[in-house]
Amino acid sequence: MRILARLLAAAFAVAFAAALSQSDDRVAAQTPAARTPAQRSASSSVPDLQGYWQGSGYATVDEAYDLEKGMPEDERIITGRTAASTTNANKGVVIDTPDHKIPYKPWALALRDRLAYNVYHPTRLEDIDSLTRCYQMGMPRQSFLGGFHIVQTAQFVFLVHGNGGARTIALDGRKHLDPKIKLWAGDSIGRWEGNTLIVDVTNINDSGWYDVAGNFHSDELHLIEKWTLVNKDLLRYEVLNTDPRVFTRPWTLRNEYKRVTEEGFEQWENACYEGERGVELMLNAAKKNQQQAPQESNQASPR
Amino acid sequence: MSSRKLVVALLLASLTLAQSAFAHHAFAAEFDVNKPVTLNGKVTKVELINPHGWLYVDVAGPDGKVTNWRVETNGPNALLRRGWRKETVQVGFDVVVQGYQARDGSATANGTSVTLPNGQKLFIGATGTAAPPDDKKN
Repeated sequence: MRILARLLAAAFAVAFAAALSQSDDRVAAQTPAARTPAQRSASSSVPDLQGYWQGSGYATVDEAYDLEKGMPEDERIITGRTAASTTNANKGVVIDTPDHKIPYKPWALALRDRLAYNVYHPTRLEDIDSLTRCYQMGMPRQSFLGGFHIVQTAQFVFLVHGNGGARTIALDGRKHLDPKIKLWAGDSIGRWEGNTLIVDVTNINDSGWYDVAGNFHSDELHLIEKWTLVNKDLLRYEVLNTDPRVFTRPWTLRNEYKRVTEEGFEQWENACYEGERGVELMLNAAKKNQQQAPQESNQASPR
Repeated sequence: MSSRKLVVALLLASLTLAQSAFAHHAFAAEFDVNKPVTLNGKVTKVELINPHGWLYVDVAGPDGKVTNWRVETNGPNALLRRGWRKETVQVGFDVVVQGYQARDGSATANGTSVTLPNGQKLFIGATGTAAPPDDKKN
């Protein structure tokens, strides 16, 4: 009942946030000057994160394909990008490990490599990234991919994602859910420290990846997020990833967001499933490839 | 708005909003960079749906046989932000579509651009980053 109550509360909160933001948007559209919020909220001493934010590089496009390697060359060509245009291909979003690599345990690295291979040679649905299959993005992926709308109150911060989905960060001092409960977005409890919103995220399931390329975590993943308002138009995101089952040590991923200042900007729905045909194309392509080169087959994922 | 101004507006829109895209697919798992296609044909259907839109184009082969190609575009959000509207590409339009064929060999392509009957060339890249102005920005 407690879980149901919290889910209902979260649903209500998101609906309320959406209604509130719509109202804000309409007022703001009539008074452009009001669209630039103060760095501090009017009602408290904490920073005002409210508004629309968009990734300013890092994981927004290139590394969203592969946190370690960035966008593959043939992806660049198909998507009309050049190597020179991929701004962070050599910078990495993993900021505190040698060569910006994720510190996998040996078995986990081997599994990651198989998962990455299977993305391009899928034999079953599970070989394909869950996001491609229109599942939720999961955590922490939804926090560093694309853009979002932030609405905050004294008790909650709501992140409504442009890619679909939402997350409620509770600031009311509650305790985490029972650890047996595993959710795509996990359970987020936050607090303010100066200009930084620190969020402790637990209860994350193991169904989602970090990227398209099979970088993964287990359901023991524990995140500590730091959302820092550097200035009124720049939001820095850092997340410490701790997963003793998969990683040899905690590691940090960083992204930055710029405030969307475009006049009249609105965030529209992105209903993934209706036009999704990528899974069909991937499986058909792999089947054809397997018929032509059977010796490359049988790389099934153990997951 | 003249055609030239419309093209400029669309390019500017793609410049300012390029970062709204995100990686939804491993595109190279679906489409073959070594199979670029140029499709001359008539639009038979337009689907502005998520996560990607689809154009359907009847293309006549050298033998006169007509094949209905389906062309993946960027999602409607990205297209709308670039200035697309429902009437931008209409059923019956004679168009030229450029893109890359699906790896499964079907009459399916990932579109990069579509040229309309009036000569306008619009970018339809499926990640929202396909427009050359995006590259100039980076």
